[in-house]
Amino acid sequence: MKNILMATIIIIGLFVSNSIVIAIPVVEDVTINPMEPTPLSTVTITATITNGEGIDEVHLMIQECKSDVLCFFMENHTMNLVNGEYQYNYKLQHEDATLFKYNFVILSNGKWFITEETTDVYLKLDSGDSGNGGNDTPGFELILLLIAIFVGVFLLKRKRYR
Amino acid sequence: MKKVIITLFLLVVLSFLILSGCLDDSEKEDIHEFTFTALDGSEKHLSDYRGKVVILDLWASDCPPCLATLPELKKIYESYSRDDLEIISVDVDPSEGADYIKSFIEWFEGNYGVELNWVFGMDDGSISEKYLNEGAIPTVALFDQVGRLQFRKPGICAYDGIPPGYPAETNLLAPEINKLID
Repeated sequence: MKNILMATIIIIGLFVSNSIVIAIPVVEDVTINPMEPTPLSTVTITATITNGEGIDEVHLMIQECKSDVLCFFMENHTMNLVNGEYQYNYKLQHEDATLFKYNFVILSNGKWFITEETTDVYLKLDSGDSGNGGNDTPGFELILLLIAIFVGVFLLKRKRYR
Repeated sequence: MKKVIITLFLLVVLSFLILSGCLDDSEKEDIHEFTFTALDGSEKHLSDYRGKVVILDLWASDCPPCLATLPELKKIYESYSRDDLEIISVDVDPSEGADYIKSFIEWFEGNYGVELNWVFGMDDGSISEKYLNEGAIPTVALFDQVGRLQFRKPGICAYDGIPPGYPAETNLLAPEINKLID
């Protein structure tokens, strides 16, 4: 009877240990500093992560985009634990980016967790920025026009003095 | 003297016209070759598609403008004969392998009702190095029937008109394709 009881307790114990719900890490709060970064500036991303059982690593997945036109390669950076929060200083790399997107990948208790949603952060652009650096070779049309005017004036003057 | 001046003037105008139009022409003259791995694991080359206009689409699944280009590539694929044109979408993200791309295609087809039935493949880094402008995706390159690069631009693309909701800077591919096929 005693042996049966012991075996039952052991079996129940094994069952319970396999059924323990693993705590999934949750990204509670994220701060972006500055709140409206400019292209090519450095932005500090700080995340408060809770409920994880032994968080081993937190990765910041970040990608700069130029509105809906194109995106640059997504980058993967390991965040640093600073005063209980995970932080990374990211230097924006593309002068024509208008926003960056980010999400987190967390290694906790040997398992990887990915935050489903990416968050967009819009960059503050200079008001005087025309946006297009000018795809065409600049000035050639103006130079052609000026040459045409000068030659025209020259020919006209020569005709009058004859 | 007047004739000399006029001749000089015309020469100056002509040289400016040539210079302003031909800054990247050296690239256009070479016959290109690149290699990628198809989703079935086989190695494919640009030269396998000689005789056809080839659209090389450089993309990754985490790039929204890349995904927005896919339905437009479908329109292109349905508008031209397989004898005339082929599309090769090469995923330039090294972390996205064949199985991932296949499941992505399945997800995309199911969600958007757009069949992605052209050639898909993976890059070993050589294509990105050669054809990506500043690491920007999507980048679309057009090769003519003998493999010369005729067009390459980063940014979202459309077939022959900017669809509603697409940005004004959307690149239109129909004029470039028709130049080569006609």
